[in-house]
Amino acid sequence: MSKGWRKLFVSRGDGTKNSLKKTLKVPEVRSPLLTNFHRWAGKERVLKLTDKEQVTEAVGNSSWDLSKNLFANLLASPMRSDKASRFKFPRDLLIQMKLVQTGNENPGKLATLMPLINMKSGKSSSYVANSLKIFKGKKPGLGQLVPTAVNDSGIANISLSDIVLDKSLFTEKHQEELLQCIENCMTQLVDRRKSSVPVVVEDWDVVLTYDHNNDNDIELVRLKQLPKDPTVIILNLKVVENDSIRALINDKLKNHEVGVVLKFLKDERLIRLVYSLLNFSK
Amino acid sequence: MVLIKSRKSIVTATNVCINSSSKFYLTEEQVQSLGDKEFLTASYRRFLRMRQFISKRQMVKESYTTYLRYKFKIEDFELKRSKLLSVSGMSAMDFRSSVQKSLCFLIKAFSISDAYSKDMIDDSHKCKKIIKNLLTVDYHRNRIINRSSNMYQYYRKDFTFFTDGQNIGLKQFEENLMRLNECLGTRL
Repeated sequence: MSKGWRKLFVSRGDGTKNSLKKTLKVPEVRSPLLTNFHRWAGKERVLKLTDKEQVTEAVGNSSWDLSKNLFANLLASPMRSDKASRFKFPRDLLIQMKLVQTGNENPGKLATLMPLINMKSGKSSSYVANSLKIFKGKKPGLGQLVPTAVNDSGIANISLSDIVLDKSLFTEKHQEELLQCIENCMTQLVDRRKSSVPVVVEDWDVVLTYDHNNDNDIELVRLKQLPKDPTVIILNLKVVENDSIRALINDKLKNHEVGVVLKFLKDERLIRLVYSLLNFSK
Repeated sequence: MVLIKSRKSIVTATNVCINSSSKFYLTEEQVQSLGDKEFLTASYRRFLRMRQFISKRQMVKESYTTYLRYKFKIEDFELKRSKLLSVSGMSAMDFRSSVQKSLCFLIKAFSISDAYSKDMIDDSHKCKKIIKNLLTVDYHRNRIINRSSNMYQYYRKDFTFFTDGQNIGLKQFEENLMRLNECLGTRL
């Protein structure tokens, strides 16, 4: 009785051990000035190189001109989720897909899932890895690639049977369309390039070739025969097997002995298209 | 607006600028003269010191540490390189200078300076985005790896996914990264 008498006043359940309530404690209040709180919590830290000397020692004086580099630009694009593998990848490495309203050719269907060649902003799009191989197999089913925003809508109830899911749009037709775009870009380039100013090959320039003797389609080469031996990216378009493109590359557009030299900042669209076609058809 | 100014750092309303010192970079002399073991530990320490600049978030910091540990201890870079690039286009890569350049890449990504030219500031933005993207992809890879035990071998040691076409997106990402490495002489 002497020890357990308090239980009589505050009865909690049947008084067994399990039902004993934990006593609530008010946390001890301490001044953040007295505790060792993180001094700069929540603030972004940056390294400051104070003077020119330090800059030279730490990173060198010259810039790398990454804005002119194709790969740096691809890798630095914002991240999007790849629907097939559920990884996140830089957007420019993926194919963007959107639902487009269907015309009369498919009665009873509301929309078509289409791969886009030029990225468009705006909601309800989804992304998948840029490769022909992915669509050759059974997985992923195209229904898996439909933008999720479709299901989230509270107003319209669109089921998968209302959407045209055509694999040929993603395989042959996408390839053809890419090729068509590339050809258009090239013909525009021919029109623009009237004067024959000799080009100077610099670092990270892209060289288009159409060369059956070369096995690689994407290659990094250091051209030692040229002044300052620049590193260039060679894109070999032999995989497309297209005569008009061969004529354009080997004849009309050729502006240097190594091939068609393009600068990234000038012909960004063409370079991106060619690169994505090569990656796609690999 | 500067709130606190000290010898080591400047605290402003939004961020903290840590003044750089030789603790953060490898000088040319160090790269040349240090012994193998000293060089490795020195560079590892410097890479790890960059951790505070990577992100405010603990999770991102941790994935950076994991990434770094993998890079230094386990990865067979030459194997990865030979699997991704064609043999003819490869040039021999000097280990020490590539480590130094990678550190340089990180410093570029997370540093500011009044002495930077406009091009270098552009570089800095690009580097930062690339590092962040790289860490995100690495985080996702770890997520898969943690799910089953043989995935570690698959994704980290043998790089089988380069050839079997199971994860084409990841393969393309690695290819691009390797090409960027080849351009800059880094080892990311």
